[in-house]
Amino acid sequence: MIVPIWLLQQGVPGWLIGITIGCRHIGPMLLAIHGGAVIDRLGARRVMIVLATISAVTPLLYPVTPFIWAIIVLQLVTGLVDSLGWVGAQTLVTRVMKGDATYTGRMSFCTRLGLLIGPAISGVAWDHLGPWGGFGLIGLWSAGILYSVLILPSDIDHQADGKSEEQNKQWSMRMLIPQPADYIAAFKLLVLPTIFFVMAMSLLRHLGGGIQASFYGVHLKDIGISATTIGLLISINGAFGLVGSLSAAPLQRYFRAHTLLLFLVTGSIAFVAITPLLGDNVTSLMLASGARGWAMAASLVFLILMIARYADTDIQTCREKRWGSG
Amino acid sequence: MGLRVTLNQMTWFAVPIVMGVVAEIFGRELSFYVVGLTATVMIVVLGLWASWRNIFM
Repeated sequence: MIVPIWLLQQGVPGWLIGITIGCRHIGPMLLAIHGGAVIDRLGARRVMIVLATISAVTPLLYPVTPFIWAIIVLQLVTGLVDSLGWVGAQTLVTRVMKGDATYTGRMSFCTRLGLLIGPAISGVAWDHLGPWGGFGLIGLWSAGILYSVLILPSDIDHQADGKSEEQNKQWSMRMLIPQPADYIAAFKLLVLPTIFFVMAMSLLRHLGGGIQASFYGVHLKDIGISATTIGLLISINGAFGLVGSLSAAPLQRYFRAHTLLLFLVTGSIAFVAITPLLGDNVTSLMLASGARGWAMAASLVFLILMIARYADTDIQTCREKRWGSG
Repeated sequence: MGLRVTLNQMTWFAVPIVMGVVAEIFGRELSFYVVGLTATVMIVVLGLWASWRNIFM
């Protein structure tokens, strides 16, 4: 939210703003698998300390960066660092919480809460303190992540992966260079039925988000809904997400995780796909947006939970049987 | 996790393009239904496949 405002203030044309914002997705798309492999080799805590430090410093570089191409480079860095930080956080969640729906739900709740209040307070900081306030708050937020990672037990990774601290400490610059073998190994995992199921559901789950981020707003604006109301609809989506995260654990008492995941992902897509049917009825649009937010948040809990319960075990078994434990 | 993030980013990148193409062919309102219905069919097929293979015993 802050970066587009900063770019607009710098007089950057709309098409270049789009490219600059879109650049955030390039790094994660190309390097998330490599980042995941680095996290596996070096340990999530250690990698996250580096990522959180970069995250805390880079926002402070935006106000002193006068060239658009330098801002694009910063966008590439922050996009990659944010995504890998999320990979590291989820890795720790699956390892430490071992698929407990209550704890995973609380983690998802905090994520949703951050998405809800983060943009609002950065907006306030921008209005009262200018660019330094807005970007400074993002840096401060990342410093909070750094503090959270630092207070984790230093042996958290080798508690989970069974490697000794010495093994985890061994690293070289070569580890930071993307290896084609990591990509082949990652895509090979799709032959495992549980991995294929979880990945396909994860992909389909984001389809609704893709619609919302692109044509949802365009359609609503076109039928005469104001920008404030569209913003309100998206906030309602986030607010109901808080409820969705916490309702996942009770739901699990009555249904199996994969059944719930199927219904929740279907719901998250259906509630955005019916938008043209609802016309300009704001109450119906609010209900659909809320239901979608609830389904999205609850489905994230089951997705993480299933990775912890089935996928990690299957990967380990597959490595031992077919590829060797090394 | 890295694989999941890669696939998710591909979706974020591809959906607006796919929806744009579908909207060009069927119109913007119909593109919501076409994409939504296609995704729902894929989920049903995935659910049936998981049940048939009994992958979550």
